[in-house]
Amino acid sequence: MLRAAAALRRWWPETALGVGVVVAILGPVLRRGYVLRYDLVFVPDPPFGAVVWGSGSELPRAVPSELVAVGLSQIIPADLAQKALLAGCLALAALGAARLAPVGHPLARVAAGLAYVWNPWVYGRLHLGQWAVVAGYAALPWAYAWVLGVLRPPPEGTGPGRRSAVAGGLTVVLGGPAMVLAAVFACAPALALARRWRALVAGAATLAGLTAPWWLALASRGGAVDLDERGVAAFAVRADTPLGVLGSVATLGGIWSRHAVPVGRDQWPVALLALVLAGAALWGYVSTRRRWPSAAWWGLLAGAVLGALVAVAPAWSVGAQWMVALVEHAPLAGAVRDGTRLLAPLALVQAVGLGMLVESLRTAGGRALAPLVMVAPVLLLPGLAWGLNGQLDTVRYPAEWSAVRAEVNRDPAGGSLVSLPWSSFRAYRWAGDVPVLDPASRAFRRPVVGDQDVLVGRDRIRGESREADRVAAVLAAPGDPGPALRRLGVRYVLVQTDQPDGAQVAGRFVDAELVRRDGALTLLRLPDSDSSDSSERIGIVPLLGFSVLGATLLVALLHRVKRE
Amino acid sequence: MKASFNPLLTAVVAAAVGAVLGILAVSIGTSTISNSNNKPASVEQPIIVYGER
Repeated sequence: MLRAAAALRRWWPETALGVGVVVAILGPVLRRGYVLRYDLVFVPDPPFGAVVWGSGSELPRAVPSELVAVGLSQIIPADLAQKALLAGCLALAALGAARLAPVGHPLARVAAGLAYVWNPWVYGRLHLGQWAVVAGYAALPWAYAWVLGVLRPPPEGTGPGRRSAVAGGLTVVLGGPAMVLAAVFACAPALALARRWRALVAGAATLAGLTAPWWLALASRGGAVDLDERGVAAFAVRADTPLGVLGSVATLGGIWSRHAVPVGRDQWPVALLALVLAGAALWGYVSTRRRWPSAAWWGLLAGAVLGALVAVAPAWSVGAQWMVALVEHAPLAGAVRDGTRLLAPLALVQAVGLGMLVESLRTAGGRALAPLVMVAPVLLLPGLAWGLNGQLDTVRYPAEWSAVRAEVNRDPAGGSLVSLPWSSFRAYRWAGDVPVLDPASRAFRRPVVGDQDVLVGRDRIRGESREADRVAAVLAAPGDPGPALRRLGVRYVLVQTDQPDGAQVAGRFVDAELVRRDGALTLLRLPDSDSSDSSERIGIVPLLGFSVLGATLLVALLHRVKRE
Repeated sequence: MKASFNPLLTAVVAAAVGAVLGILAVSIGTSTISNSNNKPASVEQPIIVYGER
């Protein structure tokens, strides 16, 4: 209790910053109800289904973040769990960067934390609802604090302690392969430059253990991962400012979707000011050189450059060809698709630099400028405030969703559920018509088969699920698809008739038993389905993967290090 | 480098940050800035897109 009070007293500016950014960004959604947009899908009372364990036929993209989401939803209502996770990510990011920056003045620490959270990178990921990617981003300063601790334990009272650095850094695994790669880019060069081979091996072993659920889930799929090479161009970096791709990336933008770009970035004054701020932050980073060990300073810079190079590579034809070849031949190469995620180390460099710049201004006679520089990220990106300028909103699922869930979940018979119409994204009128991943895949205990393709403009990027391909082939054939789906082990068909083509699809099932029909959902049961290959059990592979992950967490958190 | 704790300065910094963020949030939240880029795909469209470049 006393230690907590002392920590709060010492880290009061960071705590105020954490609370401030959460209220400022998530203010309008800090109430009951679900935020449903793009990749952000939470459902009431979510089961521990195939999405959680990565045991479905699609790539284990939500492993292990979905386990955290579903696990927390067992303790508190899922809508509150969703907001707690979003808020936790933002607060962790702000606190981490503020405590990492080698500055003493509260204003400078707040500047570093604010710059790390308030930027186009975070805007874009929040817009797309990628909370897990933001969680990985939030872990980066903590992971780097661990690296700094290895190179030179910080003096008492500066920087996070080893245990909190390790605990914060471990959450990087929630961000998926891309954010783990970003952490490797950020941390490995410093350890290598300092020839801390034991720490490098320990870090690699920790990441290998944390990522065991993916590796094992991928291995258990049998055969190579067939990623659609068109995804490289679809998710490639793009210029979202008049400054071109390089200027956009330097100012932490460049996200593939033009919808995910903040207001004003396409205007010259805003873009130029953002570039000036990025330049000033880099200048500030240069002056941190005397405060960090040389290897740490060069290492983080190298990681930022490496991440930026991977991000911008697809903008040029040679880089794009190289990336296509990588995606075709290397497993997990999808981590470099949507490469702007790898700008996270650059964001950390700029945040630390901005903190240092504010401290320099305080001590070098520019006191009046310091607060202005501190809030400059907010002034340049006002659209991040108040739920992305009102774009984030909370909604409630219509009652028929819970009725259908109850009906399907109480059926002891095996067999999967096919979600129709055949589209990976939905747009519900009751949720503001914002595109959102089909919630059905997370709502049922039994495996759910749905479309895995995504549409980027007019380009269809093929998904990786073979089971989905088989169902798609059945649906493409004329006539009643029921008998063929039965042979694939499908027991239920859920038709969301409030979606485009929904009513038409429902009419194709002639022999199916109508279980219930409401305003927007029609549930059909396929009699005598061959459900022998369906299973609600977790399976040995996910169990093994998550056991390795759990053991790695325990070892990393409880391991004591002898000070040299 | 040792972090120093100055209660007065801390309060001023916290109040300044809170005020700036609060004012911005409220003013932006109630503003009528419209941005056609941020309008999501409509359900009336024949297909639902993840995004557009």
